[in-house]
Amino acid sequence: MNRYRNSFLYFAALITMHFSVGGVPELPVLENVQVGNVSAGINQEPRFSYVGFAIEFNNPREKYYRVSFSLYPTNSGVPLRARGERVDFQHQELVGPGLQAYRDDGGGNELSLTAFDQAGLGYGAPWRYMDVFSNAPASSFYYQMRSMTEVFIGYRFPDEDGLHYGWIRFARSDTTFTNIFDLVAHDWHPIPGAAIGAGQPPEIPVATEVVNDGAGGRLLRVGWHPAVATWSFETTDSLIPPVTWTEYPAGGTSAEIPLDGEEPQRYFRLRRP
Amino acid sequence: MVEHRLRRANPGNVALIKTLNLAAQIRLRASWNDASGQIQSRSTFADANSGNAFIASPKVTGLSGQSGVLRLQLWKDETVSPSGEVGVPSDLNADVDVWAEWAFPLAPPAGLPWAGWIGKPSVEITATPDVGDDKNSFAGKRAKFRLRRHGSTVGSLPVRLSLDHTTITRPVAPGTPPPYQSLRALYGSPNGDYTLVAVSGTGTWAADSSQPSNATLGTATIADGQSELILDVVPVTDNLTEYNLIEARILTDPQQNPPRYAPGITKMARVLIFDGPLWTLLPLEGWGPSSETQSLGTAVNAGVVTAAGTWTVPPQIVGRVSGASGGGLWTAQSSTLSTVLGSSFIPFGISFRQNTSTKATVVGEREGRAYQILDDGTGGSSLPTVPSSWLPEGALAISPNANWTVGYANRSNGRIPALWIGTGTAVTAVNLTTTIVNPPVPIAGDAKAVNSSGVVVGRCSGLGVSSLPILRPFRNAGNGASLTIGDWLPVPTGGNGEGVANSVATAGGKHYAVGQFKLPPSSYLGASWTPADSQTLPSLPANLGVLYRNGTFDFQSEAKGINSSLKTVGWSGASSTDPNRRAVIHNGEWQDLNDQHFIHVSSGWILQSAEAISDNNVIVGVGVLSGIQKGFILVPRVNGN
Repeated sequence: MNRYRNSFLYFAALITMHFSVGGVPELPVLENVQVGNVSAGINQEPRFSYVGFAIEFNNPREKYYRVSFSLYPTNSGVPLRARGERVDFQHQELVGPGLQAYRDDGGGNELSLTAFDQAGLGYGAPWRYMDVFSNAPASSFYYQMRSMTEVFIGYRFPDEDGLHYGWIRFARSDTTFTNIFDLVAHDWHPIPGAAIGAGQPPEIPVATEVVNDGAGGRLLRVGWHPAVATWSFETTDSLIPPVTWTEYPAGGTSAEIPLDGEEPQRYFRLRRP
Repeated sequence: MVEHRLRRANPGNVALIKTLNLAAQIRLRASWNDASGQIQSRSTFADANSGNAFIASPKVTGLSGQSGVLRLQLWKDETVSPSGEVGVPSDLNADVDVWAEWAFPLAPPAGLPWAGWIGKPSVEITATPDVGDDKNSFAGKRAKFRLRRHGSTVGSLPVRLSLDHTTITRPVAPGTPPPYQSLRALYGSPNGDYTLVAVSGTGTWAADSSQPSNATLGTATIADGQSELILDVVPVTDNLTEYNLIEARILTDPQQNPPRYAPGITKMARVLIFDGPLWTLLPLEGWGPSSETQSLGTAVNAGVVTAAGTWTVPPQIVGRVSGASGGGLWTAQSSTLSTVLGSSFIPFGISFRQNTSTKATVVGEREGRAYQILDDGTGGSSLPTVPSSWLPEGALAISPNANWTVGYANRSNGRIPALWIGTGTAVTAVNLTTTIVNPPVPIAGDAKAVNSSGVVVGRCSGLGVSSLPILRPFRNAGNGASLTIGDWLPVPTGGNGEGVANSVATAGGKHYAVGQFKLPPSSYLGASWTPADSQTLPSLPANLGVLYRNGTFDFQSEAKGINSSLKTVGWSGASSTDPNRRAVIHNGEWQDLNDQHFIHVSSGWILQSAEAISDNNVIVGVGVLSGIQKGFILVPRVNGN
């Protein structure tokens, strides 16, 4: 297989967001709220649910809620532990085979990012917010999140073709204990068993070779993994904005590109539908 | 007549008295407070000096028709001192100078003869003891007003009293705005706070009205031949939290010609009646000096108590104790260690005694084995090992009827719930998890408690369909049944499924459990499980919350014990090792057992965790007494304690 002329071939997998965003609620949080879902896999099943709970305490003196926002695995989504005691991943750190599933001391694997108590008399009176979760064990995931504004969670999930790896990014503007992390991005690798860098799109291996077209010309034959056969193969002649991508004829897992035309360069990409 | 002699107000100032220059001019003044409280000072003196003696014969004028308090004062008039000292002659220094007070009897009004006025007594009132317990009807615990007449005791003497109060209010609930709840003491029953009852033989008491009132009038009659009338302050027992100050004041005799008595020097006394605690607090003393002995109460049985508060069979408490013994047994009658159960034995549970002739069985851990022993320290033996498992094992609880013991054994994934059926030498060990068919994850956990119906509760993974090894609270089907995959208990809203059922009780043929569940991120809260309609086993979860103090709820709590009245106890605080955590009882919400509503507030005690509660409400647990970890017993109060 002859791989060359990649300098003018630009392949990329476009990140496509697959989560529904309800947005982080305003304070006070007076009811349970689903902030977003993380879907991944062939059938795009939700693998994680980002949920806020506002548990009202029995209190005759004033309204009182214990609020927490946590990422709950669903449909076999499994959060992973990065390295050693660290749960969150560094930017670009690989999420892939060999990593242990995350579980807390009681066997649970939800990941809580924001938590606080809130109380108020109602009728327009101001609400009070209390940092009771400063009492959380220092070894807990939540406690580690208290000083962070950006978090990458690595995960895996089983699909019909095997185990896949992905990441979820949470962010907030500052570390105020009532500042709720927002679910801002996620991606997963469509090729089973392939690692993905946290915060990065999946790297799709592309095989290229130059062949004769049978009419005296040459063709660049491009091939990719069957796992992305449903992806669109697109092309553009310039990456200078505004960029207009158009679909290029492809046959599932490969495409052929004439090389002897007049164009000095052309760019191609694979896009997740 | 004058019983009060001139005296120094402060015996510590003897030196100053001794430096009094006898060559100086000595002044004597008589002043008095009339019935309206006005200070009067009119006096003339005839004096005589003889050597070192100074004799003054005061004649106080203008007291006709009056009674009150006469004060005689002796001090050095420094303005006329030969040494030329500069002073303030009219000021009496109560620390240096000498004075006396005398409650003087009546003088007839001007123009009236003295006949009939001579010998009328002054009457004073005091309060001893001046604190009464609202929750204790035992006469010895009551506050008492005492009216004393001076002089002759011939004939009965009616004395008018007014009963008033200081206005004390509090918010209806902490942090709530006015109007506040009044805590003022009102005389009368049934809607008042107290009544007065004369101690037999000392006299009588009659209120003008028995209706509760802010200011009540009445007549206290000192009996013929008695110098003192004792009035018991009898609080009206109720469930209110109270802190009431009662003020009794002697009024002038409405019969003016002549009056039968005069209010003396002390004509007002106050009594505090407060909301007496529900329990008496006893420390669990160990072996050796109490100040050095650490202890921990872990379980209690009910015993049998009569309605009058006498123990027929006293509740027994087991726990840990440092020093010469590892395990100990106490009774609810005393702090003193009753029985040493063994130096390497850690007791966790005790069965009930049916009568005085039967013995309770204590279970626990001893040298890596589940162990049982009788309450008198005899008959100790290891329980048989659990099949298909290995050591260490331990027994964590025994049913009241002693038929079932639960705890843990070990397998490759750690502890597993275990059950022992029977007592004495006929005991069968059971691995409770062998009947969990195709568990989705490895099994681990332990059995925490069992009741007389063989309903076992605890925590275990491998229950339900989750692919996670979550330690879920569970209950079995009763009668000592082994676990099935569906025996897990749901947790309250917001929980992730983790939790533990620590205790189980039976009421009305139904079974109830309490424990703890995890509310992410890492807040563990007390939980209870009640039977659904037409069911007998616990299933419906409830969040018991955490203790509210200083405007904030605690971070975590745990329900540790429940009795057949469904009273639940536990702890609340930052964590299970938080030195500032509090022993709590659940009455709609967690309440701090350190509150004076529950116990006499005693300096040096912090009750940190209530571990168990018996069917007759004896509570055991652990706290800190003067910096030493110490087990405690809370005994429900009855008359006299």
